[in-house]
Amino acid sequence: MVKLIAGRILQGFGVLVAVSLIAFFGIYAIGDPTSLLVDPQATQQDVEQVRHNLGLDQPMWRQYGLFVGSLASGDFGRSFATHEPAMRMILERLPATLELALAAIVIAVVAGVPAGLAAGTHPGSRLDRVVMTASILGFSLPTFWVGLMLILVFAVNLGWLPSFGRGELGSWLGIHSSLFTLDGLRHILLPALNLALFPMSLVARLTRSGAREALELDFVRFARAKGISERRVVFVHILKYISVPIVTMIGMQLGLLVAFAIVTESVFSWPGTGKLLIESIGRLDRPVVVAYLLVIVSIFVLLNLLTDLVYLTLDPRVRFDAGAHAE
Amino acid sequence: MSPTVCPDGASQGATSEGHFAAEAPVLRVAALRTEFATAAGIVPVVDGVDFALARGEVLGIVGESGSGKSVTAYSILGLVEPPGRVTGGRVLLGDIDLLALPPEALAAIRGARVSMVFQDPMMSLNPVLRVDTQIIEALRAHGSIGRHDAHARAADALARVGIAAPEERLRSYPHELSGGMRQRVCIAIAMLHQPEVIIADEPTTALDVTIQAQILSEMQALCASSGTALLWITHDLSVVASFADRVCVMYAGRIVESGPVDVVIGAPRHPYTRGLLDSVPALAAGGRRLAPIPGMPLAPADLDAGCAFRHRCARASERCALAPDETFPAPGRTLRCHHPLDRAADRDS
Repeated sequence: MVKLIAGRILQGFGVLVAVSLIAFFGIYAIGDPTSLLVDPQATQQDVEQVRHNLGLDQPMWRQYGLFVGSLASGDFGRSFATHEPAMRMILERLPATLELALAAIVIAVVAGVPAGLAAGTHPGSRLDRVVMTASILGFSLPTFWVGLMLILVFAVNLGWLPSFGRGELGSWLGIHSSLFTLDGLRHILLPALNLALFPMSLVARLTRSGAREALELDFVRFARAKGISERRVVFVHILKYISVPIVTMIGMQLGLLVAFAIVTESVFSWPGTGKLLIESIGRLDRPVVVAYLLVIVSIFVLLNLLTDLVYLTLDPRVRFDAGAHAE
Repeated sequence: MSPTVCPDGASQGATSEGHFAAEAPVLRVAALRTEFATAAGIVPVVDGVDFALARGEVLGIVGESGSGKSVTAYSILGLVEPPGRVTGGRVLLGDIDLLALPPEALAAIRGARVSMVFQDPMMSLNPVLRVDTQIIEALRAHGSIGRHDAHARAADALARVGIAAPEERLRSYPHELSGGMRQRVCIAIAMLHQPEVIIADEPTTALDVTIQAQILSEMQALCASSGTALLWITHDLSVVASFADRVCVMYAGRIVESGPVDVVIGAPRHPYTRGLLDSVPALAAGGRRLAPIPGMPLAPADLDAGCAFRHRCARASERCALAPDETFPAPGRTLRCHHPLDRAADRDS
């Protein structure tokens, strides 16, 4: 158990180093941000001065060395454009993205699992076909287009919901989020729905195929032979049995949602990290991009670890195996 | 079906033993037909099966893989999954036709009046739920019971099937138990409500021989003490020979021969029964080579109107192209064969 966690953290550390290297050299290869930062009328001398101040006149490997050196003291560098600390810029906007991803995954699970169970336990039925068709649409319709359509229908035509921003923030336990006010919830509904579409389809399909397989298994037949209600067979026996792959997928999707909220955040002007990333890439603002990637990768590593831990509680056989293989 | 069955069934469902007419069957299956929809069309897997089960009786249903014996068991409790479907016949528990019941009413009977034990104890318990959960939910399905009482009854049920340290076992997950122990848990669950009938679908096939013998004798004792009738489905004639009262031999979805176990095994009339006996090492005459039945059973889709066994039968004639009707050569005995073996047929013929 401890070994597993330590191993995962070590792995995650390796991934962080690799990602920082790739991002650093990648942006270096794209070009020199100085020309985007200084006034076009500035003299060559001014340009050199700015480049020197940003440390961009140093050779690449030295720049990376300096970056890693200051990392040790918790400094991720300052934005080239705003001169604010890069990490602070990201952390300021991270709650907006996290709450959006969280809301989306909740919608995906709450709608996707029952839909998948209903479809999987009635294979070939009309309901099954409806769920399958809807999930294909959920996979294949482009996010930005669905987002625009949601705005068009619910914000413009019907006027029920706002189309941009986080709305009023509430605070609870020192966390500020739009999930805590009614106005905030009204604001988050459309973007969360937009972002939820893909994972919802995935959850529904995975649940459906899992349920279909489980239906054929002897323990389901035995459970029925005991005379317990069909509801208990489906929601306790089958759902718990198929929950391991679903939880894995939710864990992975949550990371992906944080990382790919970019499109939704742009469409709904959601002030999250995705929007910040797009702006920063446009400005070749390397410290912000690198800091963003490191944060996202850390989130992935953490989610993977959490997923593993949830396994242990869901599937006793994993617990058993982990114990058996540990020396 | 026993010819001595009393048709009124008035005394069935009586709670005190005194009301029971000795011959009244607890369970009667009549003209049961179950079909499967396959790519090749609708295929009957169980085709007109009849039998009756008296109180406390052990009835063995013997047949090889694909003979329809398991599907017969599932059909009784409405556990046939699509593409299978029960399309005809009656399953009478007392005077209730189980096939005509709405799902909720059938669920109230499952596990309470008729319960089931399955072949593979590795798969018939849910691997992600604790043993106590799986026992207590079966208790709760048929009457409300407090948490403390439920726990006590669950522990008691495990103790009755010979599980040591039941309190500890209750907190286990199925994978922490051995195969024999898991099957004991399944049997404990099946016995919880002292059902009138237990349908056992090859419950000892997946176990070691020693465990198999233990479980057989324990189940026999438990059923005898509670008056539970046992429908024992197996491919193993020696198991049936050792403890069933009567036996039905199934081939290709039909019962080809049935009767008291010592008579059927001692003097089989159907060539298939004879063939089965000759291929069991313990039952074949000592010192002789085993005589396997030539060929393989036809796939259900290839069956025609004739006797399904005629392609493998040394006695087959042109008459066998028409399926034989059921005959009753002796009281309590049925047979479907145009060319039955002689009553006094000796083993060398």
